[in-house]
Amino acid sequence: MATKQVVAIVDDDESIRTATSRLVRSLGWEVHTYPCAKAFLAADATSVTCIVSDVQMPEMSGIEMLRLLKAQGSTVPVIFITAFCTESIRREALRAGALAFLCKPVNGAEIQRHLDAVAAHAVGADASQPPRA
Amino acid sequence: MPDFLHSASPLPFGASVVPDPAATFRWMLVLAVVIALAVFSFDAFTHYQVAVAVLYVLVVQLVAVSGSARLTVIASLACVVLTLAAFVLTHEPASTMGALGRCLVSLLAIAAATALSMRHLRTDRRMREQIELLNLSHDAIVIYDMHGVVTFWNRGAEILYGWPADMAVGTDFHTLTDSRFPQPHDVVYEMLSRQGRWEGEVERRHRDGHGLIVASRIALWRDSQGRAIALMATNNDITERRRAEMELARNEAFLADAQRLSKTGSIQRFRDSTEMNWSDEAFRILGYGTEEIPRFERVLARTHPDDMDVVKGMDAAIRRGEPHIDGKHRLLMPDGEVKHVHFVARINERPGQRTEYVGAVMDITAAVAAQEALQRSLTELAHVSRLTTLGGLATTMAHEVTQPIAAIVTCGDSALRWMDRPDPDVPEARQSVEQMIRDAQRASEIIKQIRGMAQKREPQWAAVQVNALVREALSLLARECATHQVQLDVQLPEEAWVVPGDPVQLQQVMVNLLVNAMQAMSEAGSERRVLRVSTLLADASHVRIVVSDTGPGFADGDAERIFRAFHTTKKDGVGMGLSICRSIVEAHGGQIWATSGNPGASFHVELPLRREGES
Repeated sequence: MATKQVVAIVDDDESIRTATSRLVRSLGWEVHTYPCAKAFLAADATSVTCIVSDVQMPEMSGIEMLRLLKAQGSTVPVIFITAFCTESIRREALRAGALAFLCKPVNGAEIQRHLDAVAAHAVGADASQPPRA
Repeated sequence: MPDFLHSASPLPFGASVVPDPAATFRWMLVLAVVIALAVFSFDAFTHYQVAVAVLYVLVVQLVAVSGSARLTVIASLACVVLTLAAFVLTHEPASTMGALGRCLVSLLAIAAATALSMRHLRTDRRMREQIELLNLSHDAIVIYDMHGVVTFWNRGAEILYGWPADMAVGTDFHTLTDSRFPQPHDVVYEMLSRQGRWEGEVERRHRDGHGLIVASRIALWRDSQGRAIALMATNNDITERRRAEMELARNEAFLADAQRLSKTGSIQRFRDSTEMNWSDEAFRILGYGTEEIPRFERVLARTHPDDMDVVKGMDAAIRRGEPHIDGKHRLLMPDGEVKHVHFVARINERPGQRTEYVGAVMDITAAVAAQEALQRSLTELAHVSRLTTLGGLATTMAHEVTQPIAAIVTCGDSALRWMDRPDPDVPEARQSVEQMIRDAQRASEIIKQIRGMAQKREPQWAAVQVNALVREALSLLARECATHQVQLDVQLPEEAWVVPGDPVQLQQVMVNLLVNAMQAMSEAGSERRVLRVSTLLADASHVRIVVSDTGPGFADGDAERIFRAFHTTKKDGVGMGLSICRSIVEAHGGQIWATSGNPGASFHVELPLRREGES
């Protein structure tokens, strides 16, 4: 089944949200954007292939959201992109189960590599092709 | 020397030492009668061939002492009758020529004595009249000899010095009145002997001890040979006048001192002309010598060219007759010095007289310099405070700049990818580039704001949009809000309220209040953190900005204290923030105050709205 693979982008900064969205779409993915963690959790996120999220957001941080998803049994990979690129946050994120921890400004090739890996994993899981426009 | 100048001489009456004249006269009369009877008895009843009747001269002289011309003449006639009677009784009709001769000699002697006595009486009467005139004078007239011994002391002297004439005459004048001349006695006497007179003020003492100041005119009296024989001092009491003059002089000195110390000169000007009167200090402030004639033109000549309109405006107001004149302007002195002066005057309308303005010109150069120094200090302090605030916000500020830059990099990457496709998607690439431009502008805007706050600069007055000011401050602190998990409740009516002010300083006030509110809620660990910002019209001419939080608020009675310098509740605060906010707001003609709510605190900033036509 060639289901279009969706990347959810969660960021409270509209600019970053739009810019990340443009980049991920240029890589051939469909994108859904959310201004905060709660908005993402409130939406039906079952069809999401991957989550690209900011770490520091008002009300609920990206890491708290990840922990909540894990607690709910979600296996959706989460890639964090943050401006607060400290080692302690990186460790905390990875410990919570993040797939990757990228620092702003994010390198296009780097995010592509991680999304490709996600896609490959998804192919293995449900035999669908990584999206190529 | 006339008799009455001698202290030993009997003076005719009251003003000098004389025995009781009536008693003296009675004794004299008795003596005269005794002598007359004795002479008559000897002449009539003895046969001695002598001209004893000559002794009637004594009788005439004694009666003359009474001062009465009539009695003297009667006594004289009586003596003549007695002489003739004795001659008739003792001599035959054919008397010898010798007896007749003796009788005639006696009659001639009586006549001569009578004539001399009458002359003396006339002179004496003239003198009495003159002395009476001296007594009528209000001046204190004292005559004293060259040794200072008083020989005459009129009633004026009795009143002035308190000593009766009978006590004063015969004493030393200067010792009695404790005289202190303005010059040494030698000098006074030297002038008297050279010019014959001396005038001056002499300090003396009344009999009861109180001090006197007298205007004294002394004349030297010389005899026919030119020898100095007496001095006549005419004295007026000028004690009260001199005291009043001294009081006036002292008051004038105080006023002059006060004017000099306060750098305030008095000024008077007529409404209908440019004539003026200036005090010494006004001359000094305006830089003219006191010999110059004060006129408004001279004020204009010193007026700074840039302030000419101010001064001419005040002149026009005076000519229009406005009740109060008040203006500040600068003076440009000939040496290039610039002075700041404040001129105030009020109208003084007097019936039947020219309308004048009386007022003061104050040299406020030092005050203006102090104000400018204070303003500089405030500016520097505000700058340091801004830097401190920025330092505290460094992390979030860096984030605010990093975000658009990160977005630019990401958009650039995606634009390339859209372009690099085998079939380039130009519209997508274009949108990415457009966002890059927007984000670059946003980053630039933030950097500009930060630089604006960090910059050390003089206040620059501009028209500041109040709601825009609030929004900019909030945008600068958006990340800070997120960090402190503060929920914003912003209520800005769609009104374009404009206040005149320095945008950077007003921004500083807003940032300070907002950061304080956030930190207060965060530090207190408040569950519900709501930062409410609203603007409203306080009255027709003032706009109010209210910043409220849901933090712990402040204790009753702290509403004023929190604005004091070095008052802080923060662990690492220096307590200058609110103090500087108040200085800034007050420098903008506004006011700032705090109220404690339930929960939280509210800070109110009220600023005067820009008036019509104000830049």
